[in-house]
Amino acid sequence: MHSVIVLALLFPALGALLAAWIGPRLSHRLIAWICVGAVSLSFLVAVAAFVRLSGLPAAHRLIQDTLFTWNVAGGTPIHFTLLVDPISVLFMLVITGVGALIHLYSAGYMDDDEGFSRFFWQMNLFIVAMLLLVMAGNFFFLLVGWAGVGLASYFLIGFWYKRPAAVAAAKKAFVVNVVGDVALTLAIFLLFVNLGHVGYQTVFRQFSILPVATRDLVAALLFVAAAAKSAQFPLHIWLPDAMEGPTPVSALIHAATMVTAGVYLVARAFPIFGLAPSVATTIAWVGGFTALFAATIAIAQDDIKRVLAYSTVSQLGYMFMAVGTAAYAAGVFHFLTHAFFKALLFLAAGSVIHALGGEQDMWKMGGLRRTIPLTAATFLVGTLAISGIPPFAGFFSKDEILGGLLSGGQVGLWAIGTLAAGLTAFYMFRLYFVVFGGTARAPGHAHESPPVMTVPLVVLAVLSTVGGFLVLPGGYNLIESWLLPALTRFGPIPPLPPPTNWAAMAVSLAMALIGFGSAWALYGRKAPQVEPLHGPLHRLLKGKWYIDELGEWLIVRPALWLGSALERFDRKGLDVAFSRVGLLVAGWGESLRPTQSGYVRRYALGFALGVMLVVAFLSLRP
Amino acid sequence: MLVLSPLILLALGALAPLFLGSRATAIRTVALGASVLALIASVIGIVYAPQHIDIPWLKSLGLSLSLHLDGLSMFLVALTALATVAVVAFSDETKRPGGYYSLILLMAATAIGTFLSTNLLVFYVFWELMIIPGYLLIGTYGQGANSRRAALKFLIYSLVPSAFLLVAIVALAVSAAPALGHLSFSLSQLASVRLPAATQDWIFLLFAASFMVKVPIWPLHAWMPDAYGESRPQVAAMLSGVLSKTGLYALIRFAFPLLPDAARLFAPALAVVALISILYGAWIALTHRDGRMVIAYSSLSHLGLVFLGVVALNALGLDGAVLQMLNHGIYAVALFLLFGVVEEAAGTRLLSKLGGIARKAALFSGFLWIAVLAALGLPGLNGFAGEFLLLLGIFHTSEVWAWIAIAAVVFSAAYFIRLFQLTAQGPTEPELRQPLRFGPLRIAAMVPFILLIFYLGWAPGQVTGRVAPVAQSITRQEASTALTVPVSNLSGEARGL
Repeated sequence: MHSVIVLALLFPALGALLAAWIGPRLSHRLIAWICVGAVSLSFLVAVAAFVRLSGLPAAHRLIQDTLFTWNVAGGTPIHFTLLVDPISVLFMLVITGVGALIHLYSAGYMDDDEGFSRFFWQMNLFIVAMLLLVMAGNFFFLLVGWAGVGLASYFLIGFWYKRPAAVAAAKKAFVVNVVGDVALTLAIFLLFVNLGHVGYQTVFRQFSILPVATRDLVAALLFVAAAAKSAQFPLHIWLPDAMEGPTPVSALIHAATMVTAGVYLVARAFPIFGLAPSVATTIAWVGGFTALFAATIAIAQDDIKRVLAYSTVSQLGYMFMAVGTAAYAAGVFHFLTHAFFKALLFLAAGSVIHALGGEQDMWKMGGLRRTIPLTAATFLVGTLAISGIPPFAGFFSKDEILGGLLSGGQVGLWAIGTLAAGLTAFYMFRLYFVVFGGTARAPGHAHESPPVMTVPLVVLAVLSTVGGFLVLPGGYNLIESWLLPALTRFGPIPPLPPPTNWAAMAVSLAMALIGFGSAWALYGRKAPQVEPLHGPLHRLLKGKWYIDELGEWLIVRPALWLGSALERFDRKGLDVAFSRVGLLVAGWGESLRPTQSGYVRRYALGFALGVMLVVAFLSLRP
Repeated sequence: MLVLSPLILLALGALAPLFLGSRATAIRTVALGASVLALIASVIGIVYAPQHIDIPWLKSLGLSLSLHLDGLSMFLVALTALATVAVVAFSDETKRPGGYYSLILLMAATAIGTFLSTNLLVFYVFWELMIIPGYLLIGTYGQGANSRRAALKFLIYSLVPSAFLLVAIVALAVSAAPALGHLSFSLSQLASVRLPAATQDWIFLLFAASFMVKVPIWPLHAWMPDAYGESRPQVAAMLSGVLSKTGLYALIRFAFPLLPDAARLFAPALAVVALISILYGAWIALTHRDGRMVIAYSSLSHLGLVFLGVVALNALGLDGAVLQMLNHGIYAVALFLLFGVVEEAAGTRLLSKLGGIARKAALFSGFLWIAVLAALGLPGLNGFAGEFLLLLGIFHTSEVWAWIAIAAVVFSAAYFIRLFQLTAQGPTEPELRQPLRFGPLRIAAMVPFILLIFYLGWAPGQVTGRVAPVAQSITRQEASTALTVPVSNLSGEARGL
């Protein structure tokens, strides 16, 4: 008998199958019922698993279920085991909970798209793969989910496959993700070859027996995998382009869930990173750099979704700073609040885009707080949350990370994070003021979205408001007390950063207010018609530091050039070398034509000659 | 008799046109029937393997008709039969149907012969016979303007090495004769003799060169672009799906057990060549404008990886190699045939002129998509299972080889996604000369491939479990100590996973 947790996977899998198989013949309403229902049921299973785990003694919070066994390598079975523990259950709750809300929203958003059923089966497929990723009980199974979400993401980025930009973005995302898959595969090889296991529990328990170099290599490979999935510099390049997908996809996959898989991996494999401190430090610094770097780009973008995409990259950087400094609870906490407010921001942006008939350039918007007030209000909540204004959720989780960094002595990282927090407030309020403040910059009248879209907005707005109260300054920390038993199961973990740091909190709040003030001064008060900032630095930021161009010129173009050069060589060079011999024989063959029997004769001759040669060789040998 | 039945059924099918004149439909139906029966027989063979027959023939020459069906050969025999069914179902030759279908069946029958033979001379006869249908199918039934030239090239590239192969086989038997007390070409007898290193070396080089041409492995692949490009897609499917496997198979079956010391000596050199194949093929596939050539060069790269797994000389690598030979056969045949349907409808293979097929034919693109995903090694599909095992085996022998080889996985993703996108997606809509022909028969022929892609992705143990004993016995023979995987280490780890 399998545990009830299998159902969490089964419902969306069935939803995907149904929608794919008979979807084209069903009404949109029915498809929506099936697919939203499937994810909601999956959410109920996650809740049940959560309740079940909380009922267990803290040290035994673990549900395991072996689905089947993969027999490879001559009697070396790999068990496909599901594992639900305090870490994975939090991810499951977010994936299915936020997932269900976004599915509901999509029923309205995608209603007039001809690919409605395709959209829904692919979304459900994504939920299956993502749940597989977080519920996997070993690295091998993790890899299956890991690649599965990459595939679903590919499908959905390229959903509007008639658009060349969408097709190109999908391919870019897939290839960068495969780089991560390969790194993960290599890490698994190393574990398998050196330890003979790929199950989490055994690997974590035995990891310390490996030599330092191997430990670092495994950790570094896992980090490359995490960085590719979670868009950390320089592998972030695919995420902004991924905005070519429909907005609910951006909200679910490219903000709330899939891109946090890297954070999940680092948090999940924390015993490995605990034993590879140099790699962990690198993770924190790459995260810090990415947080600041992406925030500077977000300042100068004009596309409403691109601003949000770079803000996602930046916020993921915060999570990596946290998990890189062993503040796993803080990282997971920020994942949680970020899932709420970033899904909210994307869905509200989608509501704006929907209201304006597909417009995404913020400089063609304006004054929308009067025409679509509910969307404006929820977007404002999201903006306040991500900017770190109390009492909204982002304030608490960001402060948990920054305070931990300062108390832990990571002054450099703390300064970077605080600076990025100021920039975050600036670019988010810039976006809010330009889109919703002032007056309309383009003709046309916007209409508020239907309730099927606004209800999820309101729910997420409430969660973005109260979600931070799970952790309060002064030592009250539900997340940590929930995760700690799971974190200590494999032996002692590095000392957790000390509790709340009031100085860090005051400084980051001040930075957020400075960011807000500057945005108000530049974009709010006078409501300019065009971007008031210009100059070379602005161009550099608008051009995204030209990283894409750099990659294009340093990697893509030389690779393609080498490809065609090799092809020419293959056609001409190599061929000529061999044809010299070939033509000789061919000429001989031609002379033996016109009858086919010429070949037979030549063949017989060759045969006889060969045999004679052997006999001669063997008899002449000493 | 079970061993021989797929071979006999295909050979009988090949003779049928003699009695049917030029009635295309009848000939095709008979060919289809014969290949379906051969497929059924080969599946029964998998159930009842190992099987062995041994019919003495010329005792004085040590020649007997020895055929052996075991874990190493049975899946390749079944693959050959399956590929033949699909190739016949996707063909519609009407001008000279008799020759065409007989040659396809003969090609399959001779390939099966090479998979089954355990007497070197018998193997050699099948190996040589296989060239004739290949030559005629490329040349006479070719598609391109230069098909005759391509066929001639194929012929030269096949005949020259096999003349040397014969030399090597005779030399091997003669050198072993003193130790055995009589002349013998039997694999099991020859394998019991350990020849002096110097003799092994040159015989091994001749063996390896002939087998590598067939795969092909860089730089012996120059016949491949012409042969795959100038023939029709069905023939290319046969060449890449089935014939390429005979070279890899012969290396595992004959070269390693018979010449173990030379194999170990030359393994690093062969690995270098394999790595070049992997990267070279992948790099060309990345930019090639011709869709079929993308698939062709992807084969060069993927079979290079299989070759690398073979020369890793451990049980894991061999196990993975046999699994991946089967997997590659499945997805390569599917890709060549499905892309062939596009070629036929659009009248071009240039990717820049294709696109948007997904909107016209959803089911067809679904099939193409699954084949592409299997080929690029998506976890959960068959290509991944083989690739994973192969790389694991390679990793055991040399981490450096594995690091380089794994780059091919990223390339695979890039060029196969590109192939699919430029064929099925995007804004361009080619003007189709005729509608995509993907009728019930073609769908039915493709369904087993799709099912196997999923099935072998989740249950590769069905194959590797049967291959493992053979692979282990070969590696044990090959190198008793140094290079075998610590199998005991691997079998105990189940509990921890």
